[in-house]
Amino acid sequence: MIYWSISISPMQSIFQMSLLPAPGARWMSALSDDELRLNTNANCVSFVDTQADGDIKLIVADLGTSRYEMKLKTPTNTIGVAAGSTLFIYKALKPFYKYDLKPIELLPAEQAAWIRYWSDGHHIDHLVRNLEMAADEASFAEMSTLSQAIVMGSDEDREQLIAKVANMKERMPVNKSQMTCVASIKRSPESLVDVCAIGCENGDIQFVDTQAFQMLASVNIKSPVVFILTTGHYDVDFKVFASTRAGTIYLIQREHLGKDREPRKIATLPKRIVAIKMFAKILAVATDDCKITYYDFRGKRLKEIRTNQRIIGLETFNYEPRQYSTLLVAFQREIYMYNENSLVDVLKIDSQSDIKWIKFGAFGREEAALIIGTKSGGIIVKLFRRTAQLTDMAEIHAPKLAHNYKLNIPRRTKLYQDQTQRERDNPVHMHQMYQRDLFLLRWLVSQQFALMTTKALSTVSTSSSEAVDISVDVNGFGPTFRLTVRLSSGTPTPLTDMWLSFIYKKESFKLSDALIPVALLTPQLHRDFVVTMVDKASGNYAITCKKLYLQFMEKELNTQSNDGKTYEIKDQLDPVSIKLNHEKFTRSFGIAVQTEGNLPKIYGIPKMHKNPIKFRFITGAHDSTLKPLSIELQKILRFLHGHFRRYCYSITGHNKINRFFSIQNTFRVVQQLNTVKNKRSEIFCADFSSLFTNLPHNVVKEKLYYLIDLMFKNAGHFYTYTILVEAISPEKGLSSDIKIYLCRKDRRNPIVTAIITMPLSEMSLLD
Amino acid sequence: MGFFSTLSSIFGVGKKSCNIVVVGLDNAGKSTILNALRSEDTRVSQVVPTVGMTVTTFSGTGVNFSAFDMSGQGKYRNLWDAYYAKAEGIMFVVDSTDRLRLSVARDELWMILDHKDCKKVPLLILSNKSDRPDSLPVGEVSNLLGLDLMRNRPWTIQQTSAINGNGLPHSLEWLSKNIKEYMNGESS
Repeated sequence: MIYWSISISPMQSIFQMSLLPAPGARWMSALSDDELRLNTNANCVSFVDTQADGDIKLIVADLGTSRYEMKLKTPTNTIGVAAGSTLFIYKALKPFYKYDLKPIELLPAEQAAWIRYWSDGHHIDHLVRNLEMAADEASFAEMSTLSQAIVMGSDEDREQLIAKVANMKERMPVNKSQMTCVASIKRSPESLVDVCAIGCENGDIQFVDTQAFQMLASVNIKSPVVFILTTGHYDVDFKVFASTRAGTIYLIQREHLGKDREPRKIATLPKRIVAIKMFAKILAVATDDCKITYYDFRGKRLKEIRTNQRIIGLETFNYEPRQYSTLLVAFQREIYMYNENSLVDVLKIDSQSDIKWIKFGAFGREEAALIIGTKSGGIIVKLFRRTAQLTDMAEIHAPKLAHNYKLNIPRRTKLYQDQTQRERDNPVHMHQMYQRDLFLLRWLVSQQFALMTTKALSTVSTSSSEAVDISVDVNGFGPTFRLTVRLSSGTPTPLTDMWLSFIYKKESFKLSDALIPVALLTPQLHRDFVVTMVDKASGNYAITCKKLYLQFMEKELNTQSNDGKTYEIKDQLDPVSIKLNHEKFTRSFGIAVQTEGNLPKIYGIPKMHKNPIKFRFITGAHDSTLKPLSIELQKILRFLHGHFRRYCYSITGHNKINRFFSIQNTFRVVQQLNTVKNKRSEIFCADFSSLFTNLPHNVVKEKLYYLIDLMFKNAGHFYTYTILVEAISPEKGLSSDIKIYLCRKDRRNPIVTAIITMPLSEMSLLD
Repeated sequence: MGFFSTLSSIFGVGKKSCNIVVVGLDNAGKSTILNALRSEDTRVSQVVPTVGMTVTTFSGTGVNFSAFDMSGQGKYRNLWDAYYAKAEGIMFVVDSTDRLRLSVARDELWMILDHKDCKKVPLLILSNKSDRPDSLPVGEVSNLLGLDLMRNRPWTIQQTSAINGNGLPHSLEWLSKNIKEYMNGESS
């Protein structure tokens, strides 16, 4: 019996094939299609010989992507589809019959509530209250679904629902149970007609004749039926196993029908049942605590299999030609096959998606096809190979049963008896001896290993122009070894188009790679790179070889070492030597060395506009030795600058000539130029070939000393310093002089003239 | 070729006779193909699924064939092995409409070729039922059977239809030619 259905004949599916199956493989991949977008489960898939021509089709009930998209494409021949409380029968592609579950009698209290509602002024509140009382009296679950919805729903819903009830016969809600599972039983060994066993939400199991569509018998197990399994013939003898949602399995036999005898409860499981299947007179029950329990048909627990993954589904595997009857267990990505005692096969799927359901049966003209449905809605078809044998698979995953072990007991010889006697007499001593030997063995092994790792093979380069250092390490104890070959070039030019070739005896060794193409061998460069900005070109980045970068850095920090080996790859500078160098340098200035704390950070950015390329080094002020000094200097200069600016502004008031140009950036220049009223026809530009770092420090220091001295010597008096800057013939001077005039505000004449050799751009320092 | 042999070949007296084994899955159309290859007066009107095997004789150009028509049903497939040793040619029939079982056909084909009794005899693969609209193109069948992996034996794949006889004469010609070559190579 099948439910919602669409037909997937093999002809319609897109398919891929993998390579030939391995000789020992038990399954071959026939078709696979990830794009079918089926939303279904194992209950809604079945195999049917739709045209009775021996070509068996797979019928899939597609639940659609949402509630209202249920597809119903039916092939020919009789198909039953259980939906809600109705069993639809399709014959030759056309709806044929509709079997409805008989309505259950309404609860008396519920019925009374409705009668009262219709007769007594349509008070919804009263109705709800009465229905609630009815629910308390009996059970909420036993009420009709409409009444349930009215109790639970909002006011608007209630009105709609009541309108629905008003349309019904006798203006009463109908209490119908929902079908939960369907199975079929043959009527008799000769008969072609099936009896349908329908499990319902209210615990009913109804046996329906599929010719006349009459209920033959009904049994109640008082709890929602979830799984139903059948065996035997209805008219002769049959067994129906039904499991409830609560995890109890009942056995219904012919003798239970129409009599007072209750169905037999054969097992109760502590966890939720995932699937139940029958194989080889065993009932296999998978629960969601990763266990499969085998029961015999009378409910005796036979065996329990623990798995390490969540079980997705079970399926019975029957292969008539070899009399195989086993159990297929679907996990997320694998399908295990168990027989009564042990694991016999593991099938891994190669799909992108996880397994959602599996179904085994005859498909097309193949009698053993396994259909795997994936979560993404695809299906995979695997066919059991004719030559496959299940018996010879060794136990890999599951431990063998204890009684299957054949213990290797030695014969009771004289020697054996002596030995056992000795073991019994002095076990402590023997154990100590064993431990000592074990330790010695381990020691020897590690000694040998250490010897091997230190003994590198020496190599000689044949041509001096292509000097390549090669070092080979052999790791491992065999039979598999690991060869580690290190190549480093000592030549100034990069070596290209080289191969690493191994020449060896083919009968003695097997190498994973005998010929390895060697990438460009560049001696001067480092395998790592440093990514920095480019000086004077913002937005550009330079990728510098780390070795070159480190070389420049070393040069800058004065920590070059001459003992570097060409093949040695330097990853970082030696922090100790930098620290030592730094201490030496600071001491030479007579500054106390701070032993704690870090050194300032430094980085370099390449000056790509220079040839040869040099680096501009940038150091953070943080942690710098000179930082306190620079702070002081900054304060002084700021002070000077403030005075200077105020002075300039005051004289601008007198003669309207702006003498103060402190330029922060180009925008300010443009701004300033725009403010000039009488624009000259030409603007003169000047460049300075040498920058302030090239100024003779002595001169700068001298001038600054002078200024500071002047400023602070007579502290306490009221005076203001102003500084006037003039650029004199900038085209002449490599380093331009700045003349600083010092003058009192009350006296207009300058009293001191200081000349400081500075480029004009230096003015930004004062700002 | 001497005068007598030319003469005898004209009269069909000195025709060589050879054995071929016809295999393939059930419902591939082996018996129907052999029925179509027979002379018109010996044809049967109704082809039923073969049980076990039947022997059919027909003649090609210069060769008389005795074809062992093996049943393709799963339970009879293990009988195939017994006939490889004396076969001078293999005819493998595939149902080109049965996509599902092409993998089975491939499995069976390679099982034949890997069999110890199977000599380097010519292999003719017939992609049958080409008259049906849902049949696969011959190239695809070839790919799916993994024929590109086959070396060291003469083989060909031919699209046929046992119902209307398409492709059958050409197949027979190829088989006759290659079997003659094979037998000459064997004898010399």
